Amino acid sequence: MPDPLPILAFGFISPWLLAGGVALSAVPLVIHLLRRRQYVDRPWAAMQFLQAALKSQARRVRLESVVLLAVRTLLILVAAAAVSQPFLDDDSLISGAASGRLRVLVVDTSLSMSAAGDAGTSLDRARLLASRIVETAPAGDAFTLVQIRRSTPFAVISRISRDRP
Amino acid sequence: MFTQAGQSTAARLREAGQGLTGLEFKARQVVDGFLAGSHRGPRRGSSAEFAEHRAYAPGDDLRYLDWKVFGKHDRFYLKQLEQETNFTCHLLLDASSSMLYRSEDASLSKLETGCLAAAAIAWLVLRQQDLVGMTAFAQSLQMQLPPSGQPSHLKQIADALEQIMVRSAAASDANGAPTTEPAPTLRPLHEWCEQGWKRAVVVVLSDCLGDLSSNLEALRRLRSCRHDVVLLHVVDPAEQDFPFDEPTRFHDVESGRAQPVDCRQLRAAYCADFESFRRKLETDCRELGADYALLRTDAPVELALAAFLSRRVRQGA
Repeated sequence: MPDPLPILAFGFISPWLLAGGVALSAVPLVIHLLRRRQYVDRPWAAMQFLQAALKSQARRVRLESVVLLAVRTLLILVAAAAVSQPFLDDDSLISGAASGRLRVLVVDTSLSMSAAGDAGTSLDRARLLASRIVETAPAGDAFTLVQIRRSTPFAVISRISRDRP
Repeated sequence: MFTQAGQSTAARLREAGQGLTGLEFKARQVVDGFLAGSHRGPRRGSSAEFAEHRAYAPGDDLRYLDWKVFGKHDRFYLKQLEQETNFTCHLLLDASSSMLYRSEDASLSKLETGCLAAAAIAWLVLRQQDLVGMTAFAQSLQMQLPPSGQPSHLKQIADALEQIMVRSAAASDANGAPTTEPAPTLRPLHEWCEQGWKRAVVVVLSDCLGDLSSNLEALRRLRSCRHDVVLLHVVDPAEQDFPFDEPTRFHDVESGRAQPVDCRQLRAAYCADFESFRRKLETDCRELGADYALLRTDAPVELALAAFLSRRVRQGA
């Protein structure tokens, strides 16, 4: 998984796609501006009706065309953003496999671990440590517990598990 | 002025070599076709309408003797039929620059349509041995032909109309001089009324652009001189339907001012405005006792004849 560029609290998997999309969203604006220059010239006799109609239409027409332009631009922007696969880096909003890590806890369960210390046996301390690691790990991480005793490692929890306790 | 969407009338006439030259001939064609029944106006049968009495003089045709009057008053009176009373028709033609407009849907400009309609009505009137006169106006009265009943008068009228068309086109080509305010189109008619014409049928051919109330004032003035007024509202189909789609810059033919417009969005409002103007013109005309008929330049000119005739028939009744 390539390391994505963080933008604020989230990022895009394919930032170049996003850049391309933003460039595309300028197209409606460009068409709108160009269109305004392409006037056909005509003679006309009945100007009074044109002016009356323009007066009553002026504000509404302008609003309509601005809204249309905004909607078209926004549409392209949204499509571009969707295509470039956004995600949130930290914390619990998106629990995707994207940011999960596989943690393998290897615990030494040989006899030497039953040596007693201040806060119980080493094994108890190891257990506490392991549970703390599990609790503080970010969401989406998976765990495997592997015991080491004598010579062959022995998987206690062989499935990769995402559950907590 | 413009070589693409709106070629000047004079240029087109030069190119086509025809336009409305041969106006006299075309007018006769229109009238003959109309009377032969191709576009029948509302005619009240073939009998002439009774107009007034005329005292009997020896030698008069006894066919027209009014026997009822003889029975009541023991006097001989002849019924004078409508066709026998000579009436005068005045054609008042708007030759201002706004009439030169022609859209792509129409084969004739408003002025050309007005001229053809005027010539046709003139021929119709002359055929009946009545009198017809013509006046063209723009900012003021321009050309005037006093009424005459001679059949040769048609040629004079046709020649004058052709001159008007060429002259208007040339004038609009020469000056692009913008006037500050578009003058109400029918204002010069006040001047015509002051010439003191006897009561007659007055046919006004105009696009009636400009301030509506002052145009109506002019019509009211005509009515107050006791004329029978028929308003032929000459309109280009593009002015009524506004069939444009793309962003357009409209150049005023009178003042030369340019107005950029996004046509597709404006069409509904434009058509509504135009229609309310037209309807108000029509209603107010009828209130004045004048006749109103819409003459679109893509419609057959015979409609003008029908409107004129219906007025005559109703007048006699």
